Amino acid sequence: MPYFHNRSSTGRGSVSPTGFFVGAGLLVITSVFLFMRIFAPDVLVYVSKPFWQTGATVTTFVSNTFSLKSRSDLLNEVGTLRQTNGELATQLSILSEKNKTVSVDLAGEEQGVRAHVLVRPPVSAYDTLVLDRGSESDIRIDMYVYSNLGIPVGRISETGNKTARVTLFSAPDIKTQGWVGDNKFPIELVGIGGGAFKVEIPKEAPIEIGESVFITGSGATPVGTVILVTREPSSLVGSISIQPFVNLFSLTQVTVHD
Amino acid sequence: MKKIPNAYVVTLILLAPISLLFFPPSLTLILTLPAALVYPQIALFTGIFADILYYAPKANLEASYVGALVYFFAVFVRYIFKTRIM
Repeated sequence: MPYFHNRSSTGRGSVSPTGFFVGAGLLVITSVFLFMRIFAPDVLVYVSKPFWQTGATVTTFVSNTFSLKSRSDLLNEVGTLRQTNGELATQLSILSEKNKTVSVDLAGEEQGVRAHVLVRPPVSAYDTLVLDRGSESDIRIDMYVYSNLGIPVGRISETGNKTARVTLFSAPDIKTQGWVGDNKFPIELVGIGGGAFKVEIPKEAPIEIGESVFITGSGATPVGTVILVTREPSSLVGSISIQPFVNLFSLTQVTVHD
Repeated sequence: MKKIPNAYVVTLILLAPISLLFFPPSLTLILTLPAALVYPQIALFTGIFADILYYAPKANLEASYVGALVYFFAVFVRYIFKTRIM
């Protein structure tokens, strides 16, 4: 019969032999992994890589299998996507025409190093990416990391010989300077994880919904759009919500360059 | 009442840290809680292991903090209620 037993009568604080061995074992394992992280980051990634790849496959399978969307929602989404696709095709043709008038030919001048993403959010805490290229491929700390569409997503924070770690702009407590819209209104983006940002603005800031958000130092490529501007009457500051252009949860390849 | 088989306990203990490589941290936390009630050290280890795997420079060691929090919570729970099966 189960019952709650007062520990004071059985030697409070005593450690069982099993508990001791579990603790000692965990301490050894932690030390080994810590050693690898500090002195041999490539080995740590090499050991973790099969697990990360399996995890990515499992996550994709689960999200596809257990999609909570109804049939009508999916049909609506397909309709919207088709419409957006048509609009984008039109924009593309316009931009292609404009591109012909540009005198500088940038074809064949692909910059940077392309790298595969080994682990990404949501599996990686802190909004970090682990790449399969490192200092051997001329990747250095503080280089910018871009998505396939050329949108900056973060910067290199650590490098091994064959691997590198990227701290995304949306990583918790990471502050990035940027601006919004044609007025180039300066803002500070503070990462809160999960690809999201917290941005405070003065209440009178001339920021409207739909304006593009840029990050300094990475060229004038927008990283997202303003989807909500909050201005509380009782507060001196407001805030904006940003919809990032890049879905970090599905990043498979990135480009790294200065 | 039967004692929980050791195989289940071992699975529970291994699942928490290994899940860091497969699943989002929130799920790892859910798996860590029951494991920590058996061995509180698991929570501490899982938190530190998460930081070893994913820590980004300039960030806080949040995973380790959460691990320590769960560790103290588990120790507290075990201190208050020690259930014995007879």
